[in-house]
Amino acid sequence: MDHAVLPGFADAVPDAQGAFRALLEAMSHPGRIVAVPPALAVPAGFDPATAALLLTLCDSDTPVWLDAAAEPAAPWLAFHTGAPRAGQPSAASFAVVLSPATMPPLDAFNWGTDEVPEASTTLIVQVSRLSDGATWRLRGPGIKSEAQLSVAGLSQDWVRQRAALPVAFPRGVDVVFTSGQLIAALPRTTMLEA
Amino acid sequence: MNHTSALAGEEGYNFAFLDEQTKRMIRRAILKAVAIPGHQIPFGSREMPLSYGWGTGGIQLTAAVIGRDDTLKVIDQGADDTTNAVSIRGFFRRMTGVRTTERTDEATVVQTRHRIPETPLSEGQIIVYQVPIPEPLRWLEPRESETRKMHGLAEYGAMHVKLYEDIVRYGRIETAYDYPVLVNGRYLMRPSPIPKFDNPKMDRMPALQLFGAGREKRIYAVPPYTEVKSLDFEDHPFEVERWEQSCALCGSNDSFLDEIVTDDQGGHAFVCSDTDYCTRRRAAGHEGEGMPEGYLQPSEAAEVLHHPPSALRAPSPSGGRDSDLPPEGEGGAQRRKGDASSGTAFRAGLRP
Amino acid sequence: MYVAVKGGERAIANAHAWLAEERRGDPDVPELSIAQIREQQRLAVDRVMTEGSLYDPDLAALALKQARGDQVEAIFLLRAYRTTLPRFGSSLPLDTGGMCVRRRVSAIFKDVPGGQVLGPTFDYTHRLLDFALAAEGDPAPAPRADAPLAETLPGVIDVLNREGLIETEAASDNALPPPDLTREPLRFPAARAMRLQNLARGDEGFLLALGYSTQRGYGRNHPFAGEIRYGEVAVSFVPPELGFEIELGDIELTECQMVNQFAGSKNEPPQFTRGYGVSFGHGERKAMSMALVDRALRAAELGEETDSPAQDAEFVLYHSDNVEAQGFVQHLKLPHYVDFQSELNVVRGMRRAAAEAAEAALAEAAE
Repeated sequence: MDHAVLPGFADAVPDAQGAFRALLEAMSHPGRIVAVPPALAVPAGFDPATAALLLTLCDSDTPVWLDAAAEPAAPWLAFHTGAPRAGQPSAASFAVVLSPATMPPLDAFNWGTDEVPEASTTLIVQVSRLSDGATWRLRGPGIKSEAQLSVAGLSQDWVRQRAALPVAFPRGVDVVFTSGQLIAALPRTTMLEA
Repeated sequence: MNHTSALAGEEGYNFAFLDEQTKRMIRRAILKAVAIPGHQIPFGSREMPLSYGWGTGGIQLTAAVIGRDDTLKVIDQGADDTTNAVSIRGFFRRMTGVRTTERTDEATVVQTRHRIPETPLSEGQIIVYQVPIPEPLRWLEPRESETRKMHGLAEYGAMHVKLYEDIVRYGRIETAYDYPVLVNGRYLMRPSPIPKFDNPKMDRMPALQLFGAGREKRIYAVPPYTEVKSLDFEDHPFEVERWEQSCALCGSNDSFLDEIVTDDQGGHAFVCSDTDYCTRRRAAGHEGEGMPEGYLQPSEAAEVLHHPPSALRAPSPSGGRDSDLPPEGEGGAQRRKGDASSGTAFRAGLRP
Repeated sequence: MYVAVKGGERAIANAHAWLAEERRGDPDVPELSIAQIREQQRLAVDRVMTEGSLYDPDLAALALKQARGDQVEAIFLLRAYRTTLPRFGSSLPLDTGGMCVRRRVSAIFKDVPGGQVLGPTFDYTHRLLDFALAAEGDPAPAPRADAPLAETLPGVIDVLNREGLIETEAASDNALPPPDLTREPLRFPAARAMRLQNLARGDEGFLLALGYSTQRGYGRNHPFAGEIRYGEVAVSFVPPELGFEIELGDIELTECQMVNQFAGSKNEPPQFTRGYGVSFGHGERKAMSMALVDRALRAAELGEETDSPAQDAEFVLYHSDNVEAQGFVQHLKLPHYVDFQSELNVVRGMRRAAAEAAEAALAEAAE
């Protein structure tokens, strides 16, 4: 199938705004599961939320790294966003991971610097299931007291890496999980207890 | 690549004025700002059709965030009726067609200059602050290259020294507004020039707080439920100002009060700076001691204003800008005596 | 009700209507046309285009008309319009050596190949008010040269730099898009391309004063006007979908190359250095001021002292933009009564404390 001919957002302005607000809510309330509204035709292997976030966030200013499973969607991404491909995870503004179990270690991505922590990579990790069950206990900015989140398909090692991340603050990476139409975010400030 | 469509905004302009690429750039900066609370993110601030220093940072944030389902409230000095608030609200009505409100509890997005509403903000709301100077260390170190390093190292001793010098000199910290805060225990942040009276409202606020400095090209944020601590010392804890008076209109004794000069004999009265809060309280039956005798309230004053005699007016320009023209004939002749005060702003536009 | 929101909206609308009347002035006097402003107030149009970063004489003339002749306001109008335009890419670097010259002078050689071309300049006019202009009428036609100028005049400095006494400018890497200050924030240290862009958009008065300050000893850099040229230059662009160069049209441009003394450093032999200035249309004062400030801002890279205002990149570049500056200066007329109330409370509190302390001291002294 030719990805490039798939349409993007049906109505670019309100759809991008709606998807952004969903993501902003998710980032503002770590662990909260939020639906990304716009429906759209997606490249093979992509969930609607994953595709919607990319159309909302990426353009020629944001190098994107795709894992092997996301690779076939490269022409779709280039056609709709003009985003250049990042050769290395560390060069990416956004990284798209469709195979979470085998994703690169967190420190393969850009964590920014103490002076420019915003230079970091944002990870968009598509998973098979998101629920507010009690796999992780989350604390930190955006969370009133404690939140819970359960994410399927991540390695124990990845969870350990993520739990250790806040020590590096303000350096770090922000992670958005996607599943179907749903997303949940773990900004770098969120303390995670497995 | 991506087509743009106006939803219900001004013809010829994209929804909310900014083009989609600019919105994406600002949205990415907002997300980073939320992820790094209190850290200033440089962004490619655009040249807006409103003046720098008049809220272009806040306007760009609001434009990047707002959608057709939002309800917008714009305040300046706590009031919905101040001229610049009126102007910015008008800009968004024209460019987005979204609903606007004066009610704090009805708004999904509140853009503000210099105040946080008295009505507590709740989860799901977004408050957008207009910021003139985002850098809390600016008066201590004018160089951007240096302040960036200081933030990188969380090297904030100089700010404590500055505040302590106040205590030594005046016996108290003399900073009355734009009082520095520490966000989530890490970043020193300027809350924008809100009175320090409002600082405690920022701490663990359920709403998302976004800060935009257009001229200085910085965005920063405080996520909901995030600790925002006003700097202080064990022996000199942070405290907010209090008034001996209460609001002359609604009787509130715990809101921020504006002092209004009521005559040329030094007479003055105090009223709530938050006009919506004051209006709600009065609607609920609260009453203050009233304004001084003979004081003409601005709404009444507006009725007696003079309109330019039609002979002096240019012929009505044909086409295009009719919506900007004033309504015809308000009649009246002379300004009454004793109508000084905050109403002045409304009269400025009228030709004597 | 205490507040009158409608009143505020009406006042603003009324103010705008009044402003429009004032702009028109006496309706018995014929209205200015855009073409009249464009043709007869051309230098005002040129400045608005330069600092507005948009080459469009008609729009600049419209902005001047709307702004009642206020330059900074007109620049603001043009910039705000410019923001809404799509950006297709960047042109190829202009070849000012290929300029169709109307004026070209060099102060460093008596004669130069192609000659000194005085062109339409105020320089040697005696500044006597010409009362004949008060009565309208066309000027007598200017005499024409017997022979046309050479099609193009090569740059003075490059032609005469056989000895290598003047530094050679390295061509920038055309593969990299030039920075765009209107889309990315200024960061420090700022590269020269970024600085030049900032200065080109910068306020003429600010740059004039700073350039002047370097002449008076605040960061002296011994300038000579190597060459000033004004004329028409072609703008070319390579559309990605075509892949080859097309000419978009000609623009009028003023360019100034200052030649400055340089004592040499560990790595560089003594030689002359350059400062560069440019403006749309005919804008020599701006281009020369810019060239002086550009050279002053190169002090650090040339290993010179950097203790004068014109050499301080953050100071110069953060304060050069008159649209930013006018906004922030004028925002002081927005209401600030909430902050003022807070200050009032503090000052009253401090005065009360001081009075109590004085009273206590008096009581103590009396005991």
